[in-house]
Amino acid sequence: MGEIKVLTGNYAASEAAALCRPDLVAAYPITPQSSVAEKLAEFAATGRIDSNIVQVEGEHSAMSVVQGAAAAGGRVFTATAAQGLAFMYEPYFRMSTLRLPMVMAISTREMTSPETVWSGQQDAISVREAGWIQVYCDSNQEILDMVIQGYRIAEHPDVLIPVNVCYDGFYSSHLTEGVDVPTQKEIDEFLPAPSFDHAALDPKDPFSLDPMTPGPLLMKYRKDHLEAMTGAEDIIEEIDREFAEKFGRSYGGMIEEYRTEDADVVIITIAGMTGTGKDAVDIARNKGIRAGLIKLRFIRPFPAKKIRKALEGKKAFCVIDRSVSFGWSEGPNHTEVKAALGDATETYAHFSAIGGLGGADISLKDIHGTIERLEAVKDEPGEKEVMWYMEED
Amino acid sequence: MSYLDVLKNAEDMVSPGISACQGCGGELILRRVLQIAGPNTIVGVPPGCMAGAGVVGWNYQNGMKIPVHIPLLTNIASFLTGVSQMYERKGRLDVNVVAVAGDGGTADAGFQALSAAAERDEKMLYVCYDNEGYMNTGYQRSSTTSLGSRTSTTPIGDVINGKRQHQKYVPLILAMHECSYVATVSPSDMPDMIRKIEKGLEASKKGFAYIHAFSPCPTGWSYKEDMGIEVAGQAVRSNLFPLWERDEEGFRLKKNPSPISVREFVEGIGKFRTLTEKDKDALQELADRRYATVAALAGMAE
Amino acid sequence: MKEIRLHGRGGQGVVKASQIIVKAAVAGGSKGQFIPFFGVERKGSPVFGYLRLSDGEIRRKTQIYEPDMLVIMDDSLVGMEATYSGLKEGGTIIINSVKTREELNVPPQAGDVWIVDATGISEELFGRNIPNTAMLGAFVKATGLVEKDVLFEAIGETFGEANTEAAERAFEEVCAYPADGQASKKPAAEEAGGQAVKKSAAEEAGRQTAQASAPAGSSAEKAEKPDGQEEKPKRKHITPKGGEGMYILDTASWRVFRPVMDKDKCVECGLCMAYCPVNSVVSKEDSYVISYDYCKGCGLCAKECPRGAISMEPEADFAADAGAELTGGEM
Repeated sequence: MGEIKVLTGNYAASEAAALCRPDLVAAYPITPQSSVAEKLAEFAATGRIDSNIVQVEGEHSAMSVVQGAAAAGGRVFTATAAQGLAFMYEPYFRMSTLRLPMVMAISTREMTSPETVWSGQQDAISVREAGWIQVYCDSNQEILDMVIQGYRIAEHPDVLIPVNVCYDGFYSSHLTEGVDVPTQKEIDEFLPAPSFDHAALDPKDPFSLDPMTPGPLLMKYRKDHLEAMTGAEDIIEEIDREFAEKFGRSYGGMIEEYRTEDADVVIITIAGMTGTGKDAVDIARNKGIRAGLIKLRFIRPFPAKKIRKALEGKKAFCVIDRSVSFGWSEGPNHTEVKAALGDATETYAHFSAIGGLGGADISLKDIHGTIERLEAVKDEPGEKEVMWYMEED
Repeated sequence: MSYLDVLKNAEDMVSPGISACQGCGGELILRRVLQIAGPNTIVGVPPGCMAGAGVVGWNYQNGMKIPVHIPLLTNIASFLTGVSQMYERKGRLDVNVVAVAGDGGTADAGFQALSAAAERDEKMLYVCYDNEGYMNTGYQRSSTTSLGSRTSTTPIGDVINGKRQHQKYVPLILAMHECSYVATVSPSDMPDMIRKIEKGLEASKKGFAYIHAFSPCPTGWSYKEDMGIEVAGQAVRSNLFPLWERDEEGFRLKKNPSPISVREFVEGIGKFRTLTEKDKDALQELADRRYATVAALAGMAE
Repeated sequence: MKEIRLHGRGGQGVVKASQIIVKAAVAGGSKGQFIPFFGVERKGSPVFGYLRLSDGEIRRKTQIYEPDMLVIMDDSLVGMEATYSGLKEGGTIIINSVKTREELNVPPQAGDVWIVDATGISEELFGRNIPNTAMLGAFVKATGLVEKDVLFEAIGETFGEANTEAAERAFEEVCAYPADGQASKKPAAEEAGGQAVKKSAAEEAGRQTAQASAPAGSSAEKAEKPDGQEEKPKRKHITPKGGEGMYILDTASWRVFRPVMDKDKCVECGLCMAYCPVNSVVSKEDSYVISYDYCKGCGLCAKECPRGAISMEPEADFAADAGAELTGGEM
């Protein structure tokens, strides 16, 4: 059995990364992620982990150094946020398209401008088309568990796609709570040493990594990547079940459902707002509203089938986003859920809610208001106006 | 062993047919560096003429006999940091980790990663083939383009006549990083070049070794294909490209007892065709100052 | 709309020639469009271009698979499958050559084949093989798709009057070989016996011996290896990487002059080996010898030889035995 440690979200990510025995960690400080990198440097300094720590000069190099180490067959880790993620976009996209597995924590943060250092998911959401698997976590326990599961998913021979473990900056990264930290032995049993060698640079088996590739062949690589992404859904669920057997904790795989069974109205949440959302559901239930919650865990691959099934027979839903879609003028996950539902969308009363940008809170009152609005419109199918969690002027 | 014996016995690691231009200085430098490094080598060649010439391969085909990767223009030194550290972890320090990059990937877009890797003294040999411009994309200016050069982005006009700034002197900047080894080489002095490549590889087992190679470019500079060695030799003799090295013992400059004038060097090179007298004076002053600076660092009296 | 595919080699001016045709089309009140194929363009390597001319709007922006016409700037390219590929029934071919229709192995569906010695004209007028402006003269004669005066004015503006002269010469000299029947006029090479034409003919012959190399990704290469991708197990190429031998270009085919070593003068100093960018000088039994497999003919070895023991000789002079020596081009 493990040990209950009181950890911030960032330290939960560091603890998990340490347990996964990375060969190399390269990270660059950025608020609110910095303590992930600091803690791993401390672990290396005190000898708790035997990992190379590379003190790079920026996130572009952080991703590039881990890319080199992964291309030499190593297990690697890094963490970032916001501007750092934007800065590393070039090697970030390449990591997934070279099909090199790794885990990167993103302590999500709003993108500048206006100048801000606080929470928001615009950073990670904006790069969801870069070929990575993305999972969003609610509790610090989930952060720790998903970093560990992340390596199993990423390194699975039928996946070989890097994984982002995302969690809310400050609201999770700096939130302190008890976390059940497994023993090294348990983790070693669950997560064997990396054995991926589909692209390992080695003079003993020389090949060119990434020759110039013409369009028709490039498209074959893209198609393979997409198929692996789709196939990852089953593997994610499988690994969730295996993890539950060993550690007693299941998160439901692609999505988590809460009190949806007999629900009329459903809120769809992501990351740290989920816990608040569950409380709001309970309060609504006490008031006689048949409310339920779906937590988007993975958004790449997008759990379209699961969402369709979970919303079957419901009357109304709202997707709450901590980011925006410029151009659709709504929350990006609302757009994606509508795409998942296809023609069935119009049978629901539904709307997008946007809140929590730039560190703003998503309060119980905000979510409760959403549930009440859903209840009010549930018998009038069609899309309603976007709800912004803003105080009235 | 003489440098000729070294070359005679050194296997070519690069595909024999690559689409570098006739008389390309970069191809000559690439082949020599990898011949000396040998089969137990991992090499990174970022976007640029050499990568464009096919040395990373096409489709499913390899461009070399050794593992080669085309990293980003911006990250070669960082990418190879990861490779190098993994090989050290595996206890395989015998594997050479080598970068062969142009001046764009070195002095401009790749400079931040290069500077950081040099400062961390990462174990690798980094060779820059400096042809003074982005030749692969059509001869645009770079920060190592010489004053007055005609390039696609510093064309000749009545208002602006070629590049208006001096080149950035990258090797000395690298030397100031206090990394393990820094040297300048020119293919016109092949014994010196081979010796420094050997020394750089040895130094790369202890830290960061940087070699800055003068890489004449017939296509971008507009001179006849057979003139490359002559052009490189004139650059050295004019003191625009002094040959020096810096190791743990300090700076050493290869003496140039009878220098030629910069005017003699630029004669016949198309990209310098419209140099003004003022430009020529400025280049001469630069050559004099550069040689004097390195001589002073090497503790050599003028 | 007429769809025209151009084939040439880097340095022959395919792109500029096509842009001038578009310019002339637009100046003449019709529509034109040109898309170059961006492979690895180097001096000597094959280059493609896609040209469309129309009275109405041209909307498609694709490569051309079934051209109405082919413009071939270098007849050594006819060995590549991509060159004649997809030509429409009765399609026109305009080619820079001193050969006949039969010698050029044109495909059976071809209509008129227009042949002009554009290399000979350009070498005579400019001293270099830049056949593009001469080909423009042949193009306008053969197709009439743009107005001659407008085109020639554009040539003069862009390249100077000597090029207008080249175009004018080609306009006069280009010779049509219909699908069945006699040539409209004897090819220039058979008529004129001038020095330049002779040299050019010899060079053409020399170039012809070198097998043209296809750029990767061209339809020719696909045609040669239709199942190349499927043969590999799926797992192997999750990550883009090499796995099937080496990518080797036939760079020997770029060579116009070859270095020839006079062993009576050679002192075995080795500088030719040290300076060769292609590693085409090798040491065999304590003697330096030149290998012609990949030598591009840059002439650095000849220039740097301290004893003047290496001379650059026209490649054409070695045409007879070149075939046996040129072993490159394993594409």
